[in-house]
Amino acid sequence: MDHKAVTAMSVFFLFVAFGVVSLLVILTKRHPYFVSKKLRLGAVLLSLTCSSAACIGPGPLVSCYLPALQNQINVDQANSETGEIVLNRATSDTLSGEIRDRNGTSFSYAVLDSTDSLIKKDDITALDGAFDADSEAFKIGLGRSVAAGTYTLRFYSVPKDSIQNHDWEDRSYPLKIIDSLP
Amino acid sequence: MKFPIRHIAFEVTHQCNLKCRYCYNYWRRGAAEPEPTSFSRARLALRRIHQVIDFEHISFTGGEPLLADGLKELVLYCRMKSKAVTIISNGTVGNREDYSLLLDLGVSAFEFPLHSPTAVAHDYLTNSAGSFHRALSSLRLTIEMGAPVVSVFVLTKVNAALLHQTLLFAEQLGVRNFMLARFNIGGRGIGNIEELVPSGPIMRSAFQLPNDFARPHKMKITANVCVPHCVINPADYPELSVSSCGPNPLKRPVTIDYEGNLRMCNHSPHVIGNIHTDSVESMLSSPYVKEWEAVPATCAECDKWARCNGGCRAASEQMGRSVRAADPIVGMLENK
Repeated sequence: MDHKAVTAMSVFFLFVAFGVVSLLVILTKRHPYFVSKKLRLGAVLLSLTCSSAACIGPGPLVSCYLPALQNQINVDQANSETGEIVLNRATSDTLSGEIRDRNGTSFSYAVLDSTDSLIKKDDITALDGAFDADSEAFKIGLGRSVAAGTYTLRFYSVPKDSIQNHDWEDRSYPLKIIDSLP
Repeated sequence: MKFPIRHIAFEVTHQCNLKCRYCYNYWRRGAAEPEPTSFSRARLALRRIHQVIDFEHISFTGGEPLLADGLKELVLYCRMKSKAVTIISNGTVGNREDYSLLLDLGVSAFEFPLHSPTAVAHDYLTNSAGSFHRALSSLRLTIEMGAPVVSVFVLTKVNAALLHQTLLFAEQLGVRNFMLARFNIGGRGIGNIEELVPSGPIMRSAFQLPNDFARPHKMKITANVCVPHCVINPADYPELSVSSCGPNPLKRPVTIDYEGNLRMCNHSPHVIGNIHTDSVESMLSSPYVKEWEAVPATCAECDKWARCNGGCRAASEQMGRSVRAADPIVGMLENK
């Protein structure tokens, strides 16, 4: 019998034992002995199933106040004081940035006008082709489809087609698009 | 359909064995002791959370979570549902057996306080003799077990001068993640504002110190309590991860207590509704939540608004003001 089969059988019998002990916990109104056994069996089960099932790794560090930073979407062109991005398309129509402490695999952005109407939205692709590293660089080309003016640039850690289901963005920047020559 | 919120702060109990001078828990403002938590109510709330919210991570907090009846069973329940779990503890209750089992259950991080390198200031701030040595023991035990540990330094006027020594001490202990949490006004802390709120220059030098310390000492240092940018400008401290707080519930530690009461964060005293009776979507799109988007009058002309959001608006609520007002520390540190 190979290692995989042994593990599967062990997990099966542990699940059965876990179910029985859980029942005993209920029947004995949480007798400490059975609670202790249930916890131990649960711990073993978790350690065995983590290698084969959807085990999540170390979670983010969450403070008393705010989740530690995840999917920090930073745009290089943003003013460090005000956060405003001024995109002069006479020079370039591309924004660059980085996603730090990444845990998502799909990202998108949306450009909204002053009435919060959607002007443009698109997915973001990683410069190296995949969002698989802790920090990922990206570029987005706004092109000429958006008229010069003042907007809000919002970033989301979901694909563009899911944006309507997520009213809250991960990051937003005031965006000013101009077309003047230097 | 489940409502997506990445992080949940679960107040598994309101009870605590310490009487910290800086405690922000809104129920600790008066002298009344909170009632003991019942395991069945906490389990019911946790089940409901799993039914109605699509989340990835849950922090067990309180009060002191290790005082809660059946904490480990509740942790097991969450881990069986493939959720990442963090325990935020004062470090004075757990023992080797507790931490070992919690680690076996897959707890992904422990947070313990370390307010000074010696007992005097730490015990003074926690208002409890012996708390330093017990917290230290918890730090040592969990580090020895290889657990991911964060030590939390609550920055106050009392211990600001001890920050550098505390960083060195934490490094000696093997701490790799250090949280600098500036004193945030609320709860029992409201009665100790004069004693605890550091001046602007003290705050800034206290942020500069870990900023200079982090890289050479290979320590990850975060400042997780949001700060008004007119008091502390995160751009001045590039080596620190300084959090900011906004109106977006998906980016906030939405807090639910063992009764199912839901709040915007654990600092806010305002109960928006209850997960047993109200839909999460309606609670988080309520007029009250929309109020968090309002620009406080004092911030109206500020060019830092987009990133700052007025600091901790829940602290304003704790002071009996509206969530539309800026962090009360703004007024206190003016001209200081």
